[in-house]
Amino acid sequence: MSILLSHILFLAFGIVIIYLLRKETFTGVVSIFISLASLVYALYIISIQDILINQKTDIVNIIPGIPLSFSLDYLGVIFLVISNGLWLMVSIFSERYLELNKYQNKPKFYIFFTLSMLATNGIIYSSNLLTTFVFYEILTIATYPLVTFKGDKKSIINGKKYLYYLLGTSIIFFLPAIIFTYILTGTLDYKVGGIFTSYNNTAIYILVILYLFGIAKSAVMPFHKWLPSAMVAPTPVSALLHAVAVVKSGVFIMLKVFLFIFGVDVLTQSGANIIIILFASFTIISSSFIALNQDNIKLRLAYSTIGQLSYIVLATAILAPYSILAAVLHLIFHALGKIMLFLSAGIIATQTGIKNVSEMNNLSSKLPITCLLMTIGAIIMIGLPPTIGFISKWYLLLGIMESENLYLLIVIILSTLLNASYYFPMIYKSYFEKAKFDYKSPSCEDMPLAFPVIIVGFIAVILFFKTDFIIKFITENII
Amino acid sequence: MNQLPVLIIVLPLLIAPILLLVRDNRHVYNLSLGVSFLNILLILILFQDVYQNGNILYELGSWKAPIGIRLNADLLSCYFLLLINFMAFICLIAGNKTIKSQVEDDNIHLFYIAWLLCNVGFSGIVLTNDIFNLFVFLEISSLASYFLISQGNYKASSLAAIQYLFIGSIGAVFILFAIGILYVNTGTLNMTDLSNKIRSGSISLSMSLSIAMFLIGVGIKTALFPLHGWLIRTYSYAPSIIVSYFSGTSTKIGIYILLRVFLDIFNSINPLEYYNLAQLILFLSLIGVLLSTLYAIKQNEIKKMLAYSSVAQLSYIIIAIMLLTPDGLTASLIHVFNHSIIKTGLFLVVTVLFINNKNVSIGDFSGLGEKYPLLMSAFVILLLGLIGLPLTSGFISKWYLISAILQSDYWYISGVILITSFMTFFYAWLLIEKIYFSARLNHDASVATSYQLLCVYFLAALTIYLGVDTSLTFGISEQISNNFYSTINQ
Repeated sequence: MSILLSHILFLAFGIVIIYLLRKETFTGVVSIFISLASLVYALYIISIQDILINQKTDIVNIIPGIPLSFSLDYLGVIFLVISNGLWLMVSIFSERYLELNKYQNKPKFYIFFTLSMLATNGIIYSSNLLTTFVFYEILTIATYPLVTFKGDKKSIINGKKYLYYLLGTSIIFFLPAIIFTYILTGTLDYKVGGIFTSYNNTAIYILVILYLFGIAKSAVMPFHKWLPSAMVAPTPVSALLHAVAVVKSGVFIMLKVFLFIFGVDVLTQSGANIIIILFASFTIISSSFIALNQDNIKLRLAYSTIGQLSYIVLATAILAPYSILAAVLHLIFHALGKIMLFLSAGIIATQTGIKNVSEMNNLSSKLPITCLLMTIGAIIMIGLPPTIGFISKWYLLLGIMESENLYLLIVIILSTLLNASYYFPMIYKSYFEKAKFDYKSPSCEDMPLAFPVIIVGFIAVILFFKTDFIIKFITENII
Repeated sequence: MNQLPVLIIVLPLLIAPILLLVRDNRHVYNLSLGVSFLNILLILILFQDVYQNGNILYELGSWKAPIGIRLNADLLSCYFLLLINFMAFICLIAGNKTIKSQVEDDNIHLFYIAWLLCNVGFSGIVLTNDIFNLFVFLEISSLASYFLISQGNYKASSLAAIQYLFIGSIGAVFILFAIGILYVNTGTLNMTDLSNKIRSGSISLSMSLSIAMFLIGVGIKTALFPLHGWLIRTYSYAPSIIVSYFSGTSTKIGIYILLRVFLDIFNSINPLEYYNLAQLILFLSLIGVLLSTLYAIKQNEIKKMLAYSSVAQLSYIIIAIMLLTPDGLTASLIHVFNHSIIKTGLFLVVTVLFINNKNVSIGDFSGLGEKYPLLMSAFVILLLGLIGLPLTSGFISKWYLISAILQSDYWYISGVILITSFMTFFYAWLLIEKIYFSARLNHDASVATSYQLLCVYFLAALTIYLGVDTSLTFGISEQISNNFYSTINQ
């Protein structure tokens, strides 16, 4: 049996174990072990990647001629480490978080959390679009119980919105795009350089739009509203799924579709990438403006995510080698930065009850470590040195120069300024403004809760000095 | 001569009067279950035989074809035969308890007899090669179903039965006239013979009249929009187990007749193309899909909701046929099978849960997820199948439907199909939300027997299985449609 399939089956097995245990106390620990084992799996798979790359394992023929099939590619390798690594951190975090916030029904939480990660790994391993689509839909369905986990009226309404957007776009745009691709090319396998041998421009334009709207998990406007809706979920869900697993899956699929279904040549020659550039640029700017007006920390972060995802989409669509490098780098760096921000927001809400930016005055005196981590995360988002956010932005700018779409410089500069103007108040307030009122309780750092975030922060800082091996990996294998 | 085709019809036909003598409810039930099971075995053997060796013809009483009546078991017949009898068997197993509580004690043995006869009628329709014989079987099944529908414990049940009787009879009369005209024109009733004679003759005015009458008659049977009103009433007021059974069979029989008449008997003149009929029906069905989906969203009563959903799904099937491409026919045949299983499963859940509750509303599902976790998971799987999410059989149907539409001349209707298919999600989700997020009501959802539960689980499992392994549905459907279109193009 292939190692990739066994990884997925292992996760399925993990879900069964959690279901069978169904004890409020155990499941968190079990889940940590499952995520640890999953990370070990991922690392082992990467250590033997040379044999695995582009080895297809067909599982079952869903549609005759298009099997459910797994394989590993270099893009997948990167996403695999990121998602499984951060999963471990977040499961450590959520065990403590759920306990402190007195959530009931933990087994349900962990079952669907594991199922979501199963789907994410499935998306990473899928070797054709149909397999991707299957796991894409599983991911949507699996995250729904997590979004509505609180079970109150607000979460049901938001959960419904979440599903309407994600399922609706996948049924109305993504599925026909896949079928249309299949009709045109006779295959759905990802292939370096794309699968279109002959094409006409109209078809490519239609397909690009269908894919752009259909893969709504990448939250390109106008189908982005599900992401703010999903913020009703408990923080670990927002952190891992709605800053890493789900949204990055969307961007990851987008990258794969553009690079391995269309191919760089087809997109440049037909000029269809302009459409993507326009939508992505619009999203970058307008989401920043919306974020500026959000007082709720999680919502502000959500709109920031929408903008940052479009950075990746934009970088991909520019199609210059440097910009693709930037896209892949940003996929990694944004995940690290955003998860720190979300987890910090979770800590802040748990320990002090603060959920809005306007209440963050002098927070650093209560939660010094958390505020430091949040600051690092924010600077990564803005893209200032000395953080990793700067590196991906640097390559994006190089890519823009290379492709001579100089007007995009304005987009980047403007959005950087906007990013700064909604992240700096958070930093400024928590460090320099005097407290206006007393906090719920005199609390301080809870180390078990902060521990996983500290590790992520540590990695994020170290990575700034050690990016060359990632860049080497990407330039050698992907571009 | 292979005796299987005739055995499948005659066996239950002989048992039915015997049951009338037995009278004891329990024995009647056991016997009809036994016959039904035996029939499935026979059909499987027949299917195997036909699949390997091609058509099996059976001359009744050894009278040769144009004069005598001939049975013809080809792949299309076997496909529908298997579906219908399988549904009958499943519903019989699951129905026992509900029938006891919904039908008057004195009528129970009659109920089973009528059910057997109804099924004989259906089996006869798909097996016969004689068009008048088809009409006779249609009447047998209709008469039996009037009785079955009238046995519902609603006040409106008898009314629904009478309405069904009237509309069904009108449909039957149209079909009868159409057959009569055909006979006058060609002098034969044998389908193969008819097809050959029509090929050589020209299309006269009377022939077009016959075609039109067939269309209306079959349109009523298939609940083709806007002739779908009877279906809603029947599904709302008939005994719920009969609704489960009919949702998988009776309208599908209409589809079968449509295929047989227009693509087989008339295949040489291809009336659907010739008169632009296909286009007309296609757009009618398109409106039908839209409206009935909207109505389904608005319904509060679950049986009505599922009934409107059935109209929408049948319209998908008809649209696929009316594309007049092999892919379209394949898609429609796949969906016939998949939809029957999903819809019967959904109705079975309603049947099993609410034995005495007459107007089951969506609210009655409140909080059931906690009470019956496993049954509700099966229900949700069936609903997901109805929406057409991947790994369910509904996805396979949708894939081929969209694929067929995109490759046809009507690629532009794919938008409507996709949007309505997404709208399915709206009403399916209303139920799912109620099941998992509403507080429990003090309703009298009844405890289902393990047999009933097994039936539902089996259908849910089948929904997933057919979504992963398509060799039965796609393999057979593709072969059937290739056979059809290769003869048309000759």
